[in-house]
Amino acid sequence: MTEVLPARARAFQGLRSGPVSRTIAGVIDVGVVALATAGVVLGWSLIESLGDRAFELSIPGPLGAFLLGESLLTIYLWFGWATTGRTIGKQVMGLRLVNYRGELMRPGGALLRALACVIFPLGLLWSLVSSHNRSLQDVVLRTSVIYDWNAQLPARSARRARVGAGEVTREGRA
Amino acid sequence: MEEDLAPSVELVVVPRDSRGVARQAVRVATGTALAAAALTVNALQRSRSLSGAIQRHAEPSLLALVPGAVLGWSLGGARRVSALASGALDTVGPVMRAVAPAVRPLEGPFRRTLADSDRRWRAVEAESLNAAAAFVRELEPQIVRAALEPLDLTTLVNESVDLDEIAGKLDVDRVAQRLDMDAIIKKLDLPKLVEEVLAEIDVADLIRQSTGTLTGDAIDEVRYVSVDADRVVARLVDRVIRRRRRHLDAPGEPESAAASVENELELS
Repeated sequence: MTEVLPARARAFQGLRSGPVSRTIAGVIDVGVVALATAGVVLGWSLIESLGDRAFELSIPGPLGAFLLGESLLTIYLWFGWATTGRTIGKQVMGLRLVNYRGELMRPGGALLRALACVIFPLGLLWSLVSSHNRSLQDVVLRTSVIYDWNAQLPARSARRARVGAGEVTREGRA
Repeated sequence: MEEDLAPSVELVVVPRDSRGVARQAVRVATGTALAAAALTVNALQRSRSLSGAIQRHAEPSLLALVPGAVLGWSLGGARRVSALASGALDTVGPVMRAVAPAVRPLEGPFRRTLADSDRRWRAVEAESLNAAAAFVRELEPQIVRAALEPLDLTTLVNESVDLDEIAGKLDVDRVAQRLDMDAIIKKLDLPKLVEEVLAEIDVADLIRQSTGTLTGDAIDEVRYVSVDADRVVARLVDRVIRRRRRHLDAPGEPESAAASVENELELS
């Protein structure tokens, strides 16, 4: 089922999104992951206290909490981008991450980008000045964050097989 | 003498009060004939106008005047005939009474002849009646059909029957009681019907739409605002760094120059 979008929204569907939308989406995502991290800590404490009499919150050290949060964020971004091209934040803001052909990323590419974002988040700020609204991660991995309010998924990047001497067959968007 | 005479005289002499009956009989016969004549003329005229030969005169056609005229003449005639008939009875009555003793010897043979005729009639009466009944039965449907054919019964009922009143008198509960609902339900293929209805409605889509719009409108507003903010911020930055415009074409789209360049890069 294809959704019918208002004409006002149709005008910018598929264009690369700007810094404000992306920042809001990022803040939402970080908030979600922060909540998840807190949940993990709480859950872990509960499991640990099962044997003991008294419940005690086992708070990890600052480094431990940071590493836990980063790991969860990586998994979260990876999962979102590899499955639907959007995390919860992007879903709320109507954004989608696509590869250079406008298709969903493959898991490997999605993991690479997730790691790049978590390790060097400052690179995302490049979208402010980029003439194509792209972050450094986008430039390096040739990805784009586009406005896409449709629930319908774009085509998934087809696995390319080399046929003959370096010939590439491609199955692009239908 | 008088007792002897009475039955035979009865055959030929009409009693005095019979004059009223005779007058009435003449009236009825004339009336019937006239009504038939009027009806025929009317029918003839209607069939003429129905067949397209409608006369568009302001004055009534000559033919339309005929029934009324005939009726007028005939009423006069009938009055005269009934007067004549009662006069004739007045004249014939005394004559017959005077003649009666003279014709008395003839009474015996006359009576016998009558009895014979009567017997013969009774012998064939049943047969004749049956034949007549059969004939009428045979004719009846044809007559009824011929009479009903030109009638628009629906219009006739609509115009002259108060259906609402009849419907008001109808005891729907009793009708409903007599209905065998189970048999009707058994005849219906309910699962198939329900399936068809569900397919027609697309319930899943309906639920998706109704729940989606509740939150969708608010989220859409946030998205619109952020898209506008994107433009404003981008324009601001572009002005600061003195850039003319940004290229926001989506990759993978036919009109996307960036995508085609990248595709070529990938292929080479």
